[in-house]
Amino acid sequence: MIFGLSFLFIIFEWYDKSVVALAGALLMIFFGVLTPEEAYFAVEYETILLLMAMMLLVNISSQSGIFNWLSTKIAAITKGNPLKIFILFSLTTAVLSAFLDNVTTVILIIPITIQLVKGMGKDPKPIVFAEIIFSNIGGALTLIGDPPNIIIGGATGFSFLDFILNLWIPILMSTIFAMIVFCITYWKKIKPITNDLVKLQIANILIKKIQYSFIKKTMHIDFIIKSIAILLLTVICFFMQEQIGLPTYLIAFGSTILLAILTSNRIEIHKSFEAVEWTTLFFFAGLFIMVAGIEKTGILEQVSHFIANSTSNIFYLSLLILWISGFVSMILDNIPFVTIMIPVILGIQTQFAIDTSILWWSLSLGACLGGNATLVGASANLVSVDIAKKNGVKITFLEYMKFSFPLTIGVLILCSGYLFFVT
Amino acid sequence: MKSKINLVSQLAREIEADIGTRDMNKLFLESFLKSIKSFQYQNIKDLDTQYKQLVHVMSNTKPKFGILISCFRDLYKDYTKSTLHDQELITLTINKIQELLEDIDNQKNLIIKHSEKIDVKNKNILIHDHSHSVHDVLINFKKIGQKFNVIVAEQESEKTHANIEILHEANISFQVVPAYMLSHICDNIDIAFFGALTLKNTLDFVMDPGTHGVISELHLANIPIYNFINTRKFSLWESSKKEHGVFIHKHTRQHSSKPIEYDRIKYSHDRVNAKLFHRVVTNEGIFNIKKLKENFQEKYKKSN
Repeated sequence: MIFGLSFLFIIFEWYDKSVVALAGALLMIFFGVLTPEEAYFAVEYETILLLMAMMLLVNISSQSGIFNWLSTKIAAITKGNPLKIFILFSLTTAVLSAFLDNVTTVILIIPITIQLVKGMGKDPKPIVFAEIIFSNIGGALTLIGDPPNIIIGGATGFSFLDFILNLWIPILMSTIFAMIVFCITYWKKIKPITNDLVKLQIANILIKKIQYSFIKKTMHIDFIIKSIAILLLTVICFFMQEQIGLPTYLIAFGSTILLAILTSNRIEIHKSFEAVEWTTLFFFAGLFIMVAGIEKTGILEQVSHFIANSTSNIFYLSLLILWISGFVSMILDNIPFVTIMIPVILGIQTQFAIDTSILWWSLSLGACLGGNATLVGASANLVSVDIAKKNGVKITFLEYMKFSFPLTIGVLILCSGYLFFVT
Repeated sequence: MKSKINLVSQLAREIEADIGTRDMNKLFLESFLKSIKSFQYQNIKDLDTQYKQLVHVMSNTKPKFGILISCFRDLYKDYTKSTLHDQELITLTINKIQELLEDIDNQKNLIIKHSEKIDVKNKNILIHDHSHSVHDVLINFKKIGQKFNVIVAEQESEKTHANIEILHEANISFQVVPAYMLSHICDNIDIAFFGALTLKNTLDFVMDPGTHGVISELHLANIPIYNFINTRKFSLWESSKKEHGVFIHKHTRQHSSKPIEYDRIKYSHDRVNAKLFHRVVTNEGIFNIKKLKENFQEKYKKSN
């Protein structure tokens, strides 16, 4: 009852979702569903600390101007060619999203792309759509790329490398598929302009304007080098997590602290702490407690039994999880859904004697990629619409969905094919 | 074509406001260098047509920028005069663009050199716009050991900040005063420096918004006012008094605390008559108004 009501409040955004989650968690304790100790231990602190550390790391390194520098360099490489703008910015979004969080990625990329494409007199909407979609596709690749993966990683103990090894094929297939569909759908808007001298001139002027507008006047080379070195070190440590023997949150925290110390003369650390999305972290904490409450009632165990008894075929089971999580993520926030699915899948696993890790990858693919179908499917989508609006581009729910829904169905079909082969 | 002119106009206005006319011209030429290098034309006729279109677009921005018109028309003149063909024509244009780019620095240095004749010793110099020519001249004065102080008349915060950054970096002593409070310190101002976008055939300079008021006030107080302009910026075409060379932006705005919406008009530039200036410093020398007029008319005749 408490969870159901909280869920409704979260869906319809009647109050801030962090407040709703925390209120739900408190009610779970007041009504005796959980003891305060149980609530305390229900919180996956490793997940929250990993998120916090990554938010800090990205904030500090972005103060060096490195990400804007990277985006403007890419803009220069495109030479104003719309096809190149689409391909390079989409791929950059996907790669950055895999290692930064999706919201940060779209905040960094979308304003530059809009200024570039809009300034050329072209409609920036298709490119913004592409960046939303590729941020979610790229984010699905790694443990730190998207909150559902962080939650799955926290619950299962899968390493950074496990995520990449198990997800790179469906993510690569989805990327190629989305690229092809995009090119076919929007060819008229992205075809090359190298045979039009005035358009070329406008594009080149814009690139130069973007370079001086977005690159900080004084970029400190030491700050940039330190940021790149620490970011690379973090990624290498994530890859070698098993050999190092440290949990991901400690690696992320270590890197963050190291970067903060090395760049203390260039940053104001209290501002970086202010930039942490505390509402998201508290939302996670409240959600973990609420799900523990539901788990205690035994409902989730029954759901696990029901699903596990409905079929003994792992492929069908993984398909079921992929498509259910895909469709749910299209309309609901995928974070509470994945949080609630954790005990369900853990329950299902106890019913099988064979390796059922594919169920986790199905959940990850469904939750991360399903969010692409609608504007409310993922937080990066909503943030992108806000940024676009601030830059004079209004994107409606339906115009986005006209393109994204069929594309998402296609991507989920591709993932289904992948699941068929691996099971 | 109209939409392309509008796009370039908007870009030119924004870039000029951000980095000044000289750097805008440099940016446009560098962009053209890249564009011509990657341009894939079908045949020589296609190249001719599109080159002509580009020059037309660059010559018809709103407002028109004399320096852009001058450079792009020069490029096109060389192109049409040439007997070369195909790729050689592209190479010719590339070489000419590079020449023009070098010329920008040469002309800047000439303005600086001529300005050294101005006596600024122990004087309070007022600046208002964020003219790069004025910045260069002040930095040079500092370099050659002149002792002076700068008073910055405050205008749009970004432009004022740009002035402050430049003066701070060059270690030039300065104070900032809101432009609408100048009457209180007129007695302390010895000389004033301004920069201009262009000079029209009506002998009106097109300058930063707000300049007209400041210059009028200084003129009334008999303070010597110097204007710095590259002669390439001259608008060598006929324009009426009515034709401002100024872009008008009409829009509505919301009151910050009350539910009141009102119409607001903004102008991209001011128009200031040459007679309000004591001297005009150019790359060709320091002119009084009579000499400026003669120089302009000579160029005008040649161009038309």
